[in-house]
Amino acid sequence: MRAWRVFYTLLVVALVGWSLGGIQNSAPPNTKEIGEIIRQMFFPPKLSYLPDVLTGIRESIQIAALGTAIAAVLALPFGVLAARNLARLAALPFVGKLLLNAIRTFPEILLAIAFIKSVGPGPFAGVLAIAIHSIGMIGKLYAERIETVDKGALEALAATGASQLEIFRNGIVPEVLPDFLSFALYRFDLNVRSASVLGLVGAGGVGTLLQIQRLGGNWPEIGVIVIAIVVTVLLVDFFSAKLRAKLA
Amino acid sequence: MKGRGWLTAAIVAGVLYWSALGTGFSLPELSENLPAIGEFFRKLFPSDGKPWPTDALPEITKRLIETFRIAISASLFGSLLALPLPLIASRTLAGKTLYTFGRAVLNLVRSVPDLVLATLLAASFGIGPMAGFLALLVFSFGVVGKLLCDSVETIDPGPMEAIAAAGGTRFQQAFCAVFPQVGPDFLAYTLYSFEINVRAASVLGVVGAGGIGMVLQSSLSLMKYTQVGLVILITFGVVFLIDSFSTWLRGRLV
Repeated sequence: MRAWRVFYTLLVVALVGWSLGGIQNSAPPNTKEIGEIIRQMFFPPKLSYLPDVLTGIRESIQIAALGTAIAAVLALPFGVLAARNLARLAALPFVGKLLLNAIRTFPEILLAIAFIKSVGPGPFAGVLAIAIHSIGMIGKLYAERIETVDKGALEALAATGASQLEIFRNGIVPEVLPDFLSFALYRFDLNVRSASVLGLVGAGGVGTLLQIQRLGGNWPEIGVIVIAIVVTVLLVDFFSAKLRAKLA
Repeated sequence: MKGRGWLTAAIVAGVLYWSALGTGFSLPELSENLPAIGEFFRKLFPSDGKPWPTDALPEITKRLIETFRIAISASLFGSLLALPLPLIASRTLAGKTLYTFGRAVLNLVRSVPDLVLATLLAASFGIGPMAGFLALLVFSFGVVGKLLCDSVETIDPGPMEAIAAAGGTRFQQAFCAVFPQVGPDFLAYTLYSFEINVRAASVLGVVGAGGIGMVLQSSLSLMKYTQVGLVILITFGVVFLIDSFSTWLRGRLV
């Protein structure tokens, strides 16, 4: 037991040493310059740029809201497919979960790039990227929730002669609906964060401004953008947690 | 209840309508664009019996390894840096003022999207894996710190009280009673942040912060679409494998 522990520790240490060895930049960082950058970004913040940034933030929130709503609907069939207790065939939930995992692992920035290249840059591509990517997580949460539905109630419904569809509509939907809304709200929370960076590759929202100002090296503008993103993320986080607590 | 349900539905519908207007999203627009989307994905695969662009493989492998190096070192160092956080940001070990402050800082750190951080770091440190490493380090620090503090708040207080009764200091309580209880949790959180970091590190390159995303970005700007397809397939496959392995390992830890 002890020997294994030493072995694992050495393995981890070797792995980290090897990893760190690969992280070198061509030029060493200039600490003086970084201090100057931080000063330009935040002291004082360039408030005259704020109206532009707020327009970007609004677009990011719109992208997140629409993307989440589409995903919340598209995830329904996946959730039903991946739920173990509804399956007629044992293989279906396995396939469903594998599919959802695959969707979840595929980075949304890559999706955004793909949509930009096909439909052109702008918030439209951002909505599509978020809608597709979010199906993975929402669908998984749906499936797990459906799996905890009380079996007794379903059997009771079946005993009254209810059809499969009726059982689904009267036995499952009312019980899981508040939680489903709560999952969507949680994902919206995460999506606001995503939608604020998708613009870095051209998919609309406040990230678009970040990308433009980064190329120009305009640190005062970048400072305002960063502050706005952080405040938005914190606010949405706060209200979404409040709403979710009410739903539960 | 019924009335409130309708009201909520109306509000949601209103927000979605507003969003559709703001983003220019509509179903006709979508169906009009579907062929273009299909066309793009078809271009990622070689057509007319042409082979995959295997000459890009050495570069892909090199950058893929860089991706893992970034993810491994960022997760480990970020988690190690987060280790003392329960001393200032958990109700168990910190006083009320310190706790409020510590949690506020942690929330602030976690609210900066990693790609924003990577963008800023790449702009100030220069293009390369250093920016990615630092961005993900901050991310791991934030997420592991938060989870660890939550964990510390749910431990069994018995051993702590025993040490306090014997005259032990707060540090002695932390090291002898608190940390041993959250050891497995800490490892699980480190692995969890590693999973997220592998995924993040594979796209950081699109803002110039090192890793496989750099190849992706350059193949995209050169419009070498089959090379893009190859990069996406390899990255996605490897990330998926690592993710599954790490999830399995975490399941065994807890």
